[in-house]
Amino acid sequence: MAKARVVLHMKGVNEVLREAQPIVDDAAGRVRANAGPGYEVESKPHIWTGRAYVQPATVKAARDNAKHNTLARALGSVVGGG
Amino acid sequence: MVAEILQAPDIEGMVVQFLNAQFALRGDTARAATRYVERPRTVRVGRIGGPRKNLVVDAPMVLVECWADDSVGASELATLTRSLVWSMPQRNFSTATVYRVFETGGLQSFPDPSTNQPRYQFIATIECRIKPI
Repeated sequence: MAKARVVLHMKGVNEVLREAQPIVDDAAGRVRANAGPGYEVESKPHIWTGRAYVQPATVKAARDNAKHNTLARALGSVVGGG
Repeated sequence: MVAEILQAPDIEGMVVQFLNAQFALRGDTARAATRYVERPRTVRVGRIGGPRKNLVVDAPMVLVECWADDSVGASELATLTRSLVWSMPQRNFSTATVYRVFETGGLQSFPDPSTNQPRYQFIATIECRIKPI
C-alpha cells in the first residue's frame, strides 16, 4: 500500500489559528477575572495565531504579582493540562 | 451498589519528598517544602491548579520556586530542580504513577520582594494516575 503524504497548507492553518482570537480573548478574560482588580487583558493577535496578554495594569498589581505569583495562580485555575 | 471512590495523589507531598531525597543524594544543602522556609537554598512547591484530565489521569499544575543567596545560585538550583522534575516519569513512586511531565511555564527569574532574595521559578504539569481507595 502506498504511503499517504500529508502536506499542510500553512496559510490555511494560520488562518484557522488567527480565527481562534475570540477563544484566546475569552480565556485571557477568565485569567484576568481570577487575578482580581488591577490586571488587564491586552488582545494582540500574532500574524500566525491568536494571542492575548494578561498583565498588571497598576504598580500595586505588579507588586502583588511579584509577591504572590497572582498571575501564575490565576492561570492555574483556568487552564487545563494536555 | 457501592460507588467507587477515586483519589488523585498528593502531588505537593510527592514532589517535596522526591526533591528532598534527590538533594540529599547529591549532598546539596537545598530543601524543598510547601511553604517558604528561610534558608540559603530553599524550594517551595505548590499546586496552583490543573484539572483532572480523564477518569484515571490527574493533571496538576505545580509552581516550583527556588531561592538562593545570589542569582547564580538560585538559577543553578532551579535548573537542577527542573531537571529532577522532568525525570519523574522514569522513576517508581510508591504512592503514584507519573505518566508525563510537561512545562506550562518555563524557567524565569522572578525576584521576590518579600524576602529580597533572588528567585527563579517554573510551572510544570505533572500527569499522574488516579487510584481507587
